[in-house]
Amino acid sequence: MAKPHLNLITIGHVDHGKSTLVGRTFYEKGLVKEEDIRKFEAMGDKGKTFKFAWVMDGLKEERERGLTIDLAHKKFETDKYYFTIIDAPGHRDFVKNMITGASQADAAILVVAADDGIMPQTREHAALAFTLGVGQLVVVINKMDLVGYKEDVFKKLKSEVIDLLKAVGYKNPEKFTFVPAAAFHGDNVVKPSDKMKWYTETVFFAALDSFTVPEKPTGKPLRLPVQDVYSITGVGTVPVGRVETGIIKVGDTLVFEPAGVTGEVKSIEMHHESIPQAEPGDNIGFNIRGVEKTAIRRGDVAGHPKSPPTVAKEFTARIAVLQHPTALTAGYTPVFHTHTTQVACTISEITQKLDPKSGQVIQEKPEFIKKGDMATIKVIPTKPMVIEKAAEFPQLSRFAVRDMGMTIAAGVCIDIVPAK
Amino acid sequence: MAEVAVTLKLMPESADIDLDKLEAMIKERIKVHSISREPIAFGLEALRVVTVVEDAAGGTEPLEQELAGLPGVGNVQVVGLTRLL
Repeated sequence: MAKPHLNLITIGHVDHGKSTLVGRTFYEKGLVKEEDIRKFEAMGDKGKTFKFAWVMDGLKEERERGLTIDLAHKKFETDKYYFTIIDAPGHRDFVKNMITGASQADAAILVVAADDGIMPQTREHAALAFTLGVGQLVVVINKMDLVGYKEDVFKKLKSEVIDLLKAVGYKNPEKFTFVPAAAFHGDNVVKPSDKMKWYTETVFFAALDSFTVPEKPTGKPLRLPVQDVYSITGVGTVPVGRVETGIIKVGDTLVFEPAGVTGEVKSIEMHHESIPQAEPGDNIGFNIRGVEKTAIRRGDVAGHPKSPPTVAKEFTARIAVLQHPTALTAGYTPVFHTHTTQVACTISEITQKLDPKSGQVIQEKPEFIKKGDMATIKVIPTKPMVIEKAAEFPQLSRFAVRDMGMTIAAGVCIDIVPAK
Repeated sequence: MAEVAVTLKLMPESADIDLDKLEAMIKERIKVHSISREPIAFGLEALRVVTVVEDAAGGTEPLEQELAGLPGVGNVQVVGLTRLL
């Protein structure tokens, strides 16, 4: 039987050794050639720093660059799984991509440097992972060599990270595996370290096998955000999109919201092959009878009439402000990007300001919120849009807030006043 | 500075768009690492374009807009992101 495939996202502060950890793993598993490693070594101090990173900054030669891009998309395998690694970019503007469509991560590796401790980006990435619905983590306390491989440093930082994960929303972060490592030297990466005999649990690589394959939300009502609509000669109207939850079958009657039109599924194709039904994660096109191409558009969501997608008149959300030149106040109307839609929405009220370190309410109805703040807000879309509650359809509850060419905030919808 | 490998999925405006021509046009505009075809349904094919942007440049919006502006492109979606280095 083929091993299941999981997408892993590496998160944490840029200088805490994410790439070194992945590079070291690839190297020890034979995915990076010995000669490439020698090239790094020949580069002197700079090369040594990046010895186990995927790419080196200085080498811009086209052919080698191409290799590094291919390497970044390489799969590696453990006893139980195939993994693809997504290394989260540092810049906040990429948050929009991670929320609205970049490949869904099944698990995360959070890297925190032992000498540096928790940095703002550590907190931001942890919050993002929770917002993205990544429920399982392995935490690597890296650069243990810089703190003398001391157990008390590891223990103290571990408890700080547990508090941080609780604050961003994780329920039982004590259950996650915490590995003390020195990725640069290979301590506790693939092989156990003889410098940290006090640590007896699994090393990083083996810890990856503690992940489980997230269950597909097949039992939920159907939600299929429309990416595009085509009119194909000899076929008819064909919406294209990815099934987020539930099952779509040939013969089903579907309703598209907020368009409010219904039609019957005549056929479904995936990779040009006709299939009788499709499930979460499937990218499909389907022929729908009774609906004109112009009656539906990108951003509409298809569901079954007995539990149709929710059109929001108003919704309550929990957000983290990532960047803003001044401050956010009631009345502000940026663009909300969620699933395949983009709608300008007015923040009608800032209900509560939350402590990013604990998640506790620190102020009721604040005048404004700014960069680094977390808050609950009320939002009124300027035109009908489908959004769902995180508790029911997490996949359709996430959004990125954009304005002035920047990603201002990321958040999830926690409550809705339906339009009908 | 770190770079980010971005995978974009381009949907054509209709099933009749000449994808060879579109591919050539993309290669003229941006530096691509690879372009492949992804079969969707009913003869429709998407183009998967892998390219690199600077992490510091912040986001994929300019790239998305540039590609979305090409004649024959229906919509552009970022389907994959990973930092290099």
